[in-house]
Amino acid sequence: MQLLKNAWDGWLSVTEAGRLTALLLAIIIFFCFTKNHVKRHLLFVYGAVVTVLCIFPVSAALLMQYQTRFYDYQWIWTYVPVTAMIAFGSTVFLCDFWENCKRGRMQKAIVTVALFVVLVMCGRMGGETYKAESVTKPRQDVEQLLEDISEKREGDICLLAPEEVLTYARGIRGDIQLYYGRNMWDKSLNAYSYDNMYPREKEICHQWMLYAQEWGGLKNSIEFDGEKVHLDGVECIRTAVGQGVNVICLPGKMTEEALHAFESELEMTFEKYGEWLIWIAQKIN
Amino acid sequence: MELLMCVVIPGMAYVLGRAVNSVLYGRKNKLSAQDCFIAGGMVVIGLAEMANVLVAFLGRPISLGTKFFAAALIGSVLAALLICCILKSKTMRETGKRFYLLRHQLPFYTFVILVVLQVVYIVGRMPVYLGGDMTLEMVESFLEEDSAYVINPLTGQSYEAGVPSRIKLLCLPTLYAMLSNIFHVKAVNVVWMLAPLFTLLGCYLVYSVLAKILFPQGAWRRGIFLLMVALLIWVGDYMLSVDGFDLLHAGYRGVTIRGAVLVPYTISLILRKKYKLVIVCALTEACIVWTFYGLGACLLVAVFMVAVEKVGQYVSARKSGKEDAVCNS
Repeated sequence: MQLLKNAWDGWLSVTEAGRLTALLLAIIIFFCFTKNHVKRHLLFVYGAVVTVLCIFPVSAALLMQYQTRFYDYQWIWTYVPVTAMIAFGSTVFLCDFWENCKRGRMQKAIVTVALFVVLVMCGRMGGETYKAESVTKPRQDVEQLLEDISEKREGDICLLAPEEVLTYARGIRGDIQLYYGRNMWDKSLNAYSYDNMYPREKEICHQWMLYAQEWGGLKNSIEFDGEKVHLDGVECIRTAVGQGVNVICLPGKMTEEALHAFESELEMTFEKYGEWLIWIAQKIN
Repeated sequence: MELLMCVVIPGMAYVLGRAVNSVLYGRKNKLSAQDCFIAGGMVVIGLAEMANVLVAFLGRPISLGTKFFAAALIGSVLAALLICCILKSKTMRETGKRFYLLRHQLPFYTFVILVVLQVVYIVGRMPVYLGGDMTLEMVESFLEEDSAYVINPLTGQSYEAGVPSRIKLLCLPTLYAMLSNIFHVKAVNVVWMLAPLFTLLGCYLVYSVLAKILFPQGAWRRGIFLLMVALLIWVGDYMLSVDGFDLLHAGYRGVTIRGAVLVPYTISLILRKKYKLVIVCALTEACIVWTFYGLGACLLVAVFMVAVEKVGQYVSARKSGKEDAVCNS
């Protein structure tokens, strides 16, 4: 039953993000009711059959079982040649329209432009579910930060930092260790190994870092995993350093109160570096 | 060095693909240059898988795997050249290769402009979607440790419980690490720039083959088809698993290569009844994507298409049988 529900919910999420599947259905329905050779073409018939299989929950659930639980519902649409069918159907439609329609060129051009506008509107149109920004600038900033850290500290580095730094750190330097990785906030990455559980103190530390990124504060109380948790920056950093962290990067908006607490209770002085505050443990020889 | 890689790898792929097509289909194979590139690409992935087994399962260093891969690649290309030389003169004479030109066609020029914009977009902005993927971290870890799957790519610390074998079987991170070693190109450029470029161009090669199959006589219609494909790539930039988003933001992933290259290519092979290469597609997919014990999308698509074709033929035969009966009576 859960699989059927996932299949139906998956279909709803696919149609919510964009409308190419709707355009595909429109093309299938259009050609089914026309006397066009397209509907007898193997590509079209296969595409129509598999589209229906991907929409109906029972067949969709079977396809999801076949592709294994490693993948979500949306990946069963790999079996449907969406791009090929839309391109095929619209090419035949446009070319037949231009060849057979007896209207003037201007009117044909207007219809063609209107169809292209419809095509463009089937895309993102401002939807933010899946966002992929350029990584060049953020990556360069982190790369510069890690270079400067390496100059100030010889030997191994174990880093605790905000998500925006940890996201790129391991992709830039394979020798840097992190207190926790991207799978702390991107749980889908846990599918890649059996090591997918972080100790409680690391999860709390991550929650405090999120709070620090937003408010720059030292202490807060939140609801986490169904219970009330007290976040304390000093305790988080003390625990992290005790577990081997030797470089800490904090958001630049940390409050004076927080920085004073780190200095008095942990004897840590953070230096300003760009938009971050950095503390580096000196290596003891 | 990036430019060298962009020339050498496709060149080797073409030679390998030509030899594979000659071996599988003989002298009268009627397979185009695009088929050669794609088949050759699949052979490169197959060789990478062999090196991956050496590295991931036998625990050999990545540097040794790189040498093995390079040697296997060069050896295969030399063997392919030999095969091509033996079969070349007969193939050229007997098939009388035709090369259709789409010059002076506005749709084709517009298509080229859209493709160039996509290439510039990928190379210039590097708009990568990181969700659910850690290929670059894996490659950096492999290169740093000179071995595969000894440290957790996300934290840099040793694995406690390890990695499923079905993840170790996937050869793309090893392939990217070896290419980075061979051509002295930064891992980030191999994974986030060059691999997506190869995938994008491979996708257009496949769709140009499909264009020829779907519109055998109409160069104008082929141009419109390719233009529509390029537009759909831009328009489909809204969700992971849609071709547009995958090609523009995740072109290095196995699922993108499967969805944008292997599955459409399988469809083109079934439409041309070239079933032997379908097996190569299925094997390639098993090397780059988590499958159900080797049974993946290519196999399912091929079986479904053949089944639909047979059912269609049966229904048509029954209809024409009934019509004959009506006419005779």
